[in-house]
Parts: sequence; C-alpha cells; structure tokens
Amino acid sequence: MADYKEMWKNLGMDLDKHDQLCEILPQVFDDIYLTQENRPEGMDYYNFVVSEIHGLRPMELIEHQKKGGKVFGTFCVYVPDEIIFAAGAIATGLCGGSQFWVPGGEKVLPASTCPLIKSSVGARLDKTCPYFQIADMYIGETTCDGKKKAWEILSENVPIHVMDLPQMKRVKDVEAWADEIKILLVKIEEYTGNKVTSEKLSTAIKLINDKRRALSRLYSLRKNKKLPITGKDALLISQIAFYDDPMRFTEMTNTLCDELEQRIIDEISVGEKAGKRIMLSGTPLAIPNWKIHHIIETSGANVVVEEMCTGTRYFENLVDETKSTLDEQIMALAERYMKINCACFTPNEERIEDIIRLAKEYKADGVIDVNLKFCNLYDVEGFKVERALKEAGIPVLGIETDYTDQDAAQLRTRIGAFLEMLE
Amino acid sequence: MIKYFVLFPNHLNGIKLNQILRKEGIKSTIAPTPRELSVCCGISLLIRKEDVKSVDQIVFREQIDILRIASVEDKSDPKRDRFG
Repeated sequence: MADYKEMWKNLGMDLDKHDQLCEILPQVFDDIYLTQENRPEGMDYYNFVVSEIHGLRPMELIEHQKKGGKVFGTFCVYVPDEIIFAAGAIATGLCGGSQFWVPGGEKVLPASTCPLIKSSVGARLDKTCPYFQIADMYIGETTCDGKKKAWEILSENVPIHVMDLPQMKRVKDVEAWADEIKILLVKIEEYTGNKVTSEKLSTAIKLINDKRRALSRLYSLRKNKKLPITGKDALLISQIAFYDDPMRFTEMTNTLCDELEQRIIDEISVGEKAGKRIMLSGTPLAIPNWKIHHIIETSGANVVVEEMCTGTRYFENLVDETKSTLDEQIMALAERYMKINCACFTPNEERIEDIIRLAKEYKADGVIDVNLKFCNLYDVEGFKVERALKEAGIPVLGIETDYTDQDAAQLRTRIGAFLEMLE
Repeated sequence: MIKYFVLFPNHLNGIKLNQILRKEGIKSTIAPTPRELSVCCGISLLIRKEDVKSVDQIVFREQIDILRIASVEDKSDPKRDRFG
C-alpha cells in the first residue's frame, strides 16, 4: 500500500475529491470481480493493475517524463499508438468510465451528452484522474460531435492535437487518413524532439501488433464451448490494454492464454453451466464500466465477445509489417486503422457484416446491442444492426444505458426476459 | 464471515509473497486494499482463514516486509447493482 498522496498532490489533483473515488472502487471490484469462482490464476496480474491503476502506472509515466520522455493521452482506437511509441513517447488511455466523474462534466456540458464524454471532461476539470494530469498532450479525433466540442474545452489547459478522421471509406479517404497520420508524426517529432525513422516505426508496429495478436488469441479462446474465462474478466483485460505498458501487457496476456489453453484441455470452465452465450455490440465500455457484463453474468448467461472499441474493434486486423519506407508504413497504418468499423462512418455495411460474422464465429445464442445514452451515431445504427441480426435468425435485444445505477433493476428484468426467450 | 488480507508497504513485497504462496500451494489473490484497512491505494493479498498461520510463518521465513495481516468483515455482494 504505497502512499501515492504526495505524487497526486504534485500532479495538482484534488486529493479530497479523489479520495472519494478511492473509497468506492475496492468494494466495487471485490463484489464484481473477486466474488467470481474458479478464476484463472493469471487474472492476478490484472487485479494488480486495477489495484495500482492510479498509483504505480502513473508513477511509471512520471519516471519516463523525468528522463525527458513525453506522455500522450488518447481517447480513441483510431489514434495510431505506433507513431507515439516510435518517437520514444508513451501513449496512455484517459479516464472516462465512471459515474463518479459525470457531474463534473455536466458543469460545462449539456446533460444530453454521452456519459463517456461527460465523465472524461469531469475527470479532467475535477482533477481526479492522474492520467489527465500527467499527459503532456492529448490526441483527439473527430469521431463524434460531442468529442469535437469537448476538445475545445480540454485544450484550455493542456495542448491538444486533433486528427481529422474521414467519415467515408473511399480510396481518397484512406489517403486523407494517411495524411493525418503524417501530420501527427511531424507534431509528435516536434513535441518530443525525437525523429521517427522507418526502423523505429517498424519496431513500434511490431510492438502494437503483438498486443493485438495477444488479444486476438485471448478472444479466440472464448470461442470454445467450455469457456475458460468469463466475459467480465476478458473485458477487464481489454480495458487495461489502453493503459498498461504494451510489452508487459502482451507478455502477461500470452501467459494467461497459456493457462486458458490448458484449462480447455483439462475441460475447466468458468461459465454458467448451460448458460446462454451472449455477444455484445455497440459503444465502448471504459474502465470501470462493468455494469452490463455484471448484470448478464449474474443472470445465468456468459458474454463471449464484444464488438466494441473495448473489444474486437481494438485488435482486429494487423498493420502490414513488411513495409520498409516511412511513406509505405504510414499507408499501411492508414489502411489498417480505416478497417475499424465505427458508427461514425457512412455507409457502414462492414460493421453490420462484422457483427453477423462475430455472432457466428463465437456461436452466440443472442446479441445485446448496448449503446450509451445520447450516442446518436450508434443509436441510429442500432436500427440496421437489429434488422440484420433478425434477418440472420439471431435474437437481439437493444439497450440504451448510462453509468448510473438507476436502470440496473430494469436492465436485469429486460435481460432476464431476453435470456428466457433464448431457452 | 471474515476475510483476511496481507498488507504491504509497497507492491514489490506483495508480488514476491504472492509468488511464494502460489509455489507452496497456498491460495492467494491480489486485491485492492479494502478501505477499512487503509486509506492508501494499492495491492494487498487476500488469503484464506485456514492459511493465516502458514502465511505468517512464510513471511517470517522469507523475510518479506509486510505491514500486517488484517481481517475485515466480508461485505461482498456478488449481485450488487451499484457500479460506482
């Protein structure tokens, strides 16, 4: 139990307010995670990261800064971490998954803004997130209107670079995204004082691809009939992927996968016996948003895959590692990132195809399309998602929710009825 | 019911003890330190009641720096509908 108060104080954090958050989280984690039975031993690593998430990892980032390194805070799976690591800097996720931060965001944002944005802005303005305090620069993007305006508020205290993400997927849009990556590269070179060479970028591409490979391996194991890991635990791993050192994360996730493969051989399962297999699609679930998984997995079912930014959208498709010049590598990055199918694109048939494909690959008995309140893009796209799933004969339930506890009982009833319908 | 936690001055000792306990076949889980036991963030080890004496002996034998082994009432609610 290291005392991190001095570090938080030096970061300019509001210690009293942050203390209220520290008071809540251990019991929430205990109830939701540690009460699970028969968890893999390898989950201890992720328990460790959560326990130290506002302590040890921020301390590592500060140590990096003391040696002259820079830290870039990012919000979205479209920001190419490869460029940041190639410049000798560190990319880290920022806070945004708790109701605790929402009132702080609502002081400056309309209440009808999605909870992810309100929570992020609140965490920054209330000074209760060490990652927001540490980051030398934030990297934003134009994936939705709410975020675009939020950057203008966040940039009042910390420099922010916004990447202009095209909203269509024509050849010229992929080329435009490659240009945006080049602009980011120059910006990061200027800010860090470090040149990004093709050799350094090649190493960084391999580093991040390895993380994707480890996550892909983990998810593949969830296709097994006898689940070696719960959906909750897989979600936690996906969430931690945004914060942890990528090399360490990859190593620990591969170690866990070794254990899970042995569990499959030994026919050890954590899932509810005969529990229905549920796939989730929709908006991201930032840490510590464990609400939907918890409700589903304490209602007799198992979550087997997430078509989300905290899920398959984060790791599917690798960057081509065979390119040797910077221009070729940047185009390879643009091509990979433009294969992510976010609801901000139009048309977006590829996302519908992904959802149907994943539901079949993971043998889902049903899909729950979960969207954060006031996320118009995903909410509108929900119509086509649900229609396509029904046409494919896959039962679907659409849910709109936020970070509060107020709809928990109602969600339990609706999800329970959906699961009964799958019997 | 009562739960037992080993508390540490830093995470390194916690990881070291966790590894030793695992090797000796003693169940040990890394957990956030319960608020009732400390106002500081960070890890502790959740151990079983029947292992408290053995863990204490191993801590002494291996010269691991711990703060104490503490107990708290188990307030776990596996079906909680509050999410923080």
